[in-house]
Amino acid sequence: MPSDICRDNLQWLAETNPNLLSLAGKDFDSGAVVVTPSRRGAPSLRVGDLQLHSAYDPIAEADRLAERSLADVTQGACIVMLGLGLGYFAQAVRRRWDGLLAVIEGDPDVFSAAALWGSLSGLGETKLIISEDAEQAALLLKPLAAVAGGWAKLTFIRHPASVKRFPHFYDEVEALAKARGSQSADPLGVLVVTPLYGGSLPIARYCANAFRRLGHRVETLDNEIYDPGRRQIETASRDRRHCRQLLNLLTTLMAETITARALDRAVDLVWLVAQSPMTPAVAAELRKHGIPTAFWFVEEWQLLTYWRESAPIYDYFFTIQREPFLRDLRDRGVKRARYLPLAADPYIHRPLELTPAEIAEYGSEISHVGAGYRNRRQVFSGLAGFDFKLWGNDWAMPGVLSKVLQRDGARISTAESVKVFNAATINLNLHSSEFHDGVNPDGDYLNPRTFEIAACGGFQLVDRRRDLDEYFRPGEDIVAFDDARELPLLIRYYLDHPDERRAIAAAGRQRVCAGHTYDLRMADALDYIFSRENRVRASSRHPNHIENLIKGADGDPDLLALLEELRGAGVVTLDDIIERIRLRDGQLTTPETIFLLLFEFRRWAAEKDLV
Amino acid sequence: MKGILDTERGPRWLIIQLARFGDLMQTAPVVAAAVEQDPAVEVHLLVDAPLGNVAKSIRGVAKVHTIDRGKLLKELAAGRIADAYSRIGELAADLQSRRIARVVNLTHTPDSAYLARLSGAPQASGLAAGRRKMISADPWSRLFRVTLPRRDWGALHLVDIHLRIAGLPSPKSVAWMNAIPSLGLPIRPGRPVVGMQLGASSPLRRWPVEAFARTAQIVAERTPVTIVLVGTPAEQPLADEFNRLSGIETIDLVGRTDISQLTAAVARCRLILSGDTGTIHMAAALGVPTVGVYLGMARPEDTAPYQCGAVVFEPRRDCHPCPEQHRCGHLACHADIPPEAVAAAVMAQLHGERIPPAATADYRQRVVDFDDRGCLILRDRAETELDRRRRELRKVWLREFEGMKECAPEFATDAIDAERRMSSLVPPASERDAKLVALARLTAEATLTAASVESDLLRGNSPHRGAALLRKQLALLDDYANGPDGVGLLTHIFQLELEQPPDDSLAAAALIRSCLGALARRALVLMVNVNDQHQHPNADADADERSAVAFAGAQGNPPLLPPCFVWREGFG
Repeated sequence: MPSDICRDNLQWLAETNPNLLSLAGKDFDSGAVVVTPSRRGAPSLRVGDLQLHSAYDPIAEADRLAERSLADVTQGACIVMLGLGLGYFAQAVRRRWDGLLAVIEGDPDVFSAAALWGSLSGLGETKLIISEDAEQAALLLKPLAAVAGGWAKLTFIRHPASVKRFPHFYDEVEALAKARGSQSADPLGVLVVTPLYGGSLPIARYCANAFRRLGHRVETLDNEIYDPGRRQIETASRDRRHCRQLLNLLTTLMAETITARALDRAVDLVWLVAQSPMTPAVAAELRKHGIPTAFWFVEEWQLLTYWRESAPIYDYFFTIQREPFLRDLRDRGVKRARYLPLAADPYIHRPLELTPAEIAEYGSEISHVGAGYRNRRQVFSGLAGFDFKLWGNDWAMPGVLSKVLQRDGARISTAESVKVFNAATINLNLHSSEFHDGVNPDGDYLNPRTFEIAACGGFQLVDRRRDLDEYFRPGEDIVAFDDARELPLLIRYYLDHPDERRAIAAAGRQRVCAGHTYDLRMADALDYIFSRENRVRASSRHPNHIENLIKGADGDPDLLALLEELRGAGVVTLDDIIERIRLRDGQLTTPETIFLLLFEFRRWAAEKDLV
Repeated sequence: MKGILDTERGPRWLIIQLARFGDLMQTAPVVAAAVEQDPAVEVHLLVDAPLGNVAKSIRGVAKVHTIDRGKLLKELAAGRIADAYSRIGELAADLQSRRIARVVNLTHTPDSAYLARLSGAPQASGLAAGRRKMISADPWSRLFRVTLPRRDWGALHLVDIHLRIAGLPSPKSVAWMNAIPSLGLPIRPGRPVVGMQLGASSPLRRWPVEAFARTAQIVAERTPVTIVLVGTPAEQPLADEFNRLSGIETIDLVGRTDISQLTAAVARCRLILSGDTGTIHMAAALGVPTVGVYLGMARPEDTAPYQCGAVVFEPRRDCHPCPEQHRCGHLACHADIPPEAVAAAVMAQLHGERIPPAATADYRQRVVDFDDRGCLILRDRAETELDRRRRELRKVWLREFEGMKECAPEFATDAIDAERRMSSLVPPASERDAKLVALARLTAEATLTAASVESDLLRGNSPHRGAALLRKQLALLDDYANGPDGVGLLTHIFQLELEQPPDDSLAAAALIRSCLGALARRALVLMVNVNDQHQHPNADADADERSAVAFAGAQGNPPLLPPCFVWREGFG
């Protein structure tokens, strides 16, 4: 009976990780998570089609893995194991390692199974982190990192089968933790403002993730929550002037929120992308406080021309196209305009292990994800004879394409498009144009899909763009066509040559991961904004910037020692200081007592509604 | 210790009282008691800045320190960490430079606990701060913490609790504030002054202005008096209404006095009639007789004027006093107190006559007195179930905290004996008894475990297994502590005793053993009484008293206690 086995586990949890007790008792989906006896008798675990432990002897397997994994671990490190399974591997490591140890598991069901069937009590003093959210999991490592003497002390060991299930999750946990380790001496505070909807909404989120991975303090104003309101406003009146006026009010509300948040969180930069809300008054107000605004115009400049009015209000204006756009901007008085091409987020755009059901749903010989533009309609109509799946919106009156159009032309999510890129044998990427048939001979910029498909390890046929050679080596890591009439032949060829296809796709992924990620793009942008112009950070003038607090602590060694531990944290709050104090041991010092008093007083006042 | 004891004027005490005006007034008897006990003691008071001046008028206060909590709050709200830090830092430096020997924290908020620590005093009582949580440095503040969210279980008046936290006997003097220069009010000779405050901190607590006016009319018809109205500027409309309704000439000081001037005005009165306000407690501190009308959450048992002979009226309703945060839809009880009865009490007070307690179907009129231990009690015509429990609880806590020696010797046994005795007891008759039996058994077992851990440690053996079991047993006790009855109360107080275990494992094990043993004994005492009662109803009065703690909650009274403890939520 599992209850006999789990009593010790629960007691161990109660003693070492009591916060997980409630999670341990949860029912798990026994359809997906299956515990089976191994040949040697110890329970083994299968999740879906994936065997997480040896079906023969999971204990011996764990011992072998532990021997191998610990070979390179230096003394004094703090080991963070990625993946718990039933805990065999973690126990094998614990038996050989008496230093600090944490285990992260991304699937609560697996943890429940481990609490019921595993033998966790053999883990001794081990911190367990169960979370489906990579950022939260990384954050929960904070106390451990503090005890270990810094984030850099964390050494990551992977349980291969668990990581195979959620490579993205575990990669991101590791990346976030490492980013904290390599955090710049003085991280920036960046407020990312997202649009309400559309193709640039995910790009804003990729930017926020990238800033975070670069070690900066990121605040996100996610305006997607206002999108239902926007839609309602658009139908509020048949008089378009009324609707416009209401939309202006909504824009003003969202823009004013930027000021409120930026000042409250003492950020150094407000980062916006195409369609993010802003008003000239708010941009000016932020400038007055020394907080620059940067706008990434991820649009085709000749197609969408609102930049003419909006570009001058920002301090920095980034484009995905070069001349003559940049010249035009300069002519209009936009001094700090700069080219910043699109990219991929390899933590999101990544190879997936798809289930047979997913392959059936998202897979086809050729596919395209994108909106219905004139040139695409024209070109794709000639391909309707292939095993073709067409995904995306704005395909009204699809004609011959109706039989290949998926979900009646509904927009698909980022997660689904990643599945399509993974599942399709050949991804077609034709840059949009309303003015051309076939390939636009003047097209310069590369659309996000070019990078995203490649980062997913997908194979793509892309129309030749002026800038393509700068980013890829056509024929080696991508295949380009100059004329749509080449397409059927190219498709046939690559359908018939899977090895060539796979080699090109793998090279494409490598190229994007090495040189075309949002992390690199955001680093470039920040370098341009802060290093080259030697801009003074707004936050450095903030009275609660840790450097200013340290300066003020002169002459009080206890206070200085406490604040020194926060050096590099930028602008700190009372809560940050309290969090630090909670990690310390020994008798309370006078400064610690004063901060705790202030914290408790504020809490008491809040409870009494005095604030 | 040099510097602490060698001051010319004897040891310095710091009493922290950051709560409101009324609480500060109820701190005055504590200062008096401290100075009466040791005239050499130098009492410093730490109060909220707006009360600094009135604090200086309290007799025996050598120095008043203030903290401007309003400004502090503004600084914190604006995120001005450095400014807020400096404000407290300067106060701490000042306090530390004064070499305070003892701090008595009579404010029951966590921030005050940190202030107590910052004073640098080597001795502390009341709520104190540790690194990880709040600590009650003495049993009385532990009791106060436990009963704060479950006031029906309180047993002592606030001042009595404060005196015990400070370790002081009740003061012998009857007035604790200094003489105040006259305000020069236009009072005609031969007309005793009756002061009234018409307002209160919430509408729930406010006796209707019509009732005040009628009372004044009745008094004025029978004896020449001068009515002085006092209160805050917000209470001016009430005063206007009073003047209109009563038709009596009054001296209307409402909204026109600061606290010092209020003190002068109250000192000039022959009597104060008011709700449970700062003014009535100020009158008690000045030795001015009082008549109180306690409505809403006001609970005379806890906060009647600390003054022998004070008369307190309150409604006789099941819903009185209102629970905290209560919103009443009808305020029907406000009509329960007849102005005629209040006027009679006022007249008697004015004439120095002894007033007997009285009660009708609608209201109770009780008179403040002190028992032989010096604890405030309310003389009444008939005792209610709640009164009886309070009286019994008072005895239990006094015995618990001021000397176990009074406990019946047969119960002061060892836990091992306790377990032996338990096995021979009759099977429990009800769920309630079963709970006590289980608690007694658990605590007896846990005591043995603690003893085995202690013995392992003494012999130098690893207590690993025993420690794990003990942790489990202590965790099981949490279930009892969360119970909404006397068993919960007992267990919780036991847990508070353990909240600051010594660093040394052996000493910690010994502390756990002794606390668990005491809890086991207490559970057993109660259980035996229950069983005795089953066999011999009304066996003896003492048994009745002993059984009071655990079972009042189970004797058909409504569930009185919230399921969780605010203090436990707050500090981890």
